Amino acid sequence: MTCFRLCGLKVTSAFPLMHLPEWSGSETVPGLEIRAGAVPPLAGARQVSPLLQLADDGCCRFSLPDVASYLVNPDATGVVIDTALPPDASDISAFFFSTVFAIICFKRGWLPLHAASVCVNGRGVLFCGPSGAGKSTLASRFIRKGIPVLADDVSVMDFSDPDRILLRPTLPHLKLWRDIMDQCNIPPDGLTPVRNKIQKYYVPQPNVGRTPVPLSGIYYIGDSRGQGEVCQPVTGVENFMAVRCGVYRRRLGEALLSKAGLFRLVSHVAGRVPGYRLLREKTLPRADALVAEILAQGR
Amino acid sequence: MVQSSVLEALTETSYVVRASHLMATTVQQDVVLLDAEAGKYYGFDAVGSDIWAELETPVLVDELCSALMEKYTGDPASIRHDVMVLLKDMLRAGLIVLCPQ
Repeated sequence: MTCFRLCGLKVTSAFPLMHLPEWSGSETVPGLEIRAGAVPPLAGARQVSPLLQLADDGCCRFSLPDVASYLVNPDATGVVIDTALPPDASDISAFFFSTVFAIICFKRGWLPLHAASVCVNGRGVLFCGPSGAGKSTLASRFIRKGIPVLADDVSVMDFSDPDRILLRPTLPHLKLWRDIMDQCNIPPDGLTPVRNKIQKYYVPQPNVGRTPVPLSGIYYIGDSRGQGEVCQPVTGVENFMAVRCGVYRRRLGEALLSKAGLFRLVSHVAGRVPGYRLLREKTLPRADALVAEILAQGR
Repeated sequence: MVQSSVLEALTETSYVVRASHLMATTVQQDVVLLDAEAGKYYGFDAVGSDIWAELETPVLVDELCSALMEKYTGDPASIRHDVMVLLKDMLRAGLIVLCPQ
């Protein structure tokens, strides 16, 4: 068993989890245990989707044909993985860090957003948007300024502090296209491609944050469609809907928390965290100026 | 689906109140509602939020209009018309209900 760090949790795992840093804290009790075992279909459970079952006791079974079946226990402290693939198969890890990770977040009362995040002066800033919006690209611009990365695809909000919303650090890498890496002077040698035959790589971030930080703002990234870059505040209904649309695996969240439960979490964020609409151009011509503006706001 | 007879029954002498099954949150100056049963979201800007605030307890439509006329400048007839249009929309969507006289 190897011990890793994920979202501040000590994770013991029978499977190598891609790119997670090894655990180095003092806690002896794991926050999450991942083991191999049989995961048959749950009798009498609600079939939320063709791949997902929810049992009355809170267990969740996510099953992907030809990859693995994952069973998450009711309080998300344990995951059982049933697979015929080799333990180090990348697909096992890939699907763990998508739907299964989302299940763990929702069950722990965290809210995952489809966002990259960086830590500016001890406070978290999120870049939220669908795949391809430019989250990682924008986050990579902060790396050049020595700003730590907290997350790449999924940023995790923690509501345990009554006075502020915290961001938990997740995966310590960015997924970057080769042209962005070239701009950042990052050679691809020795780096793992995201998928075979595409020029996109996992770029480790040794400077990744390790402790939760308070969240200070969310930038919702969209395409300017050639109309010029725009960065403006969003408030009210627009802010609420932006947060809601940014929830990672939103339908899964509604199934696990109910629509009312997710509404409460989204309301909490929209009411407390400033939002900004960022319509960017493809090449991010004002990227450095935008980074400077965000850094200035963080002071 | 709200019957047309209910919509036709809405007049300035009607009492209206929020439907009880909705969830509501205030975000900056706006109000967002969730009808979890229907899976629909609704949003009100600042003016709509003021009206929503007045609907917490049963209110006479005529008194609602008067309260808004005190708060906002505008032609009284236009305000009454706009309020009736909004209330009909809210009634049709199930966001408010008519109270028994």
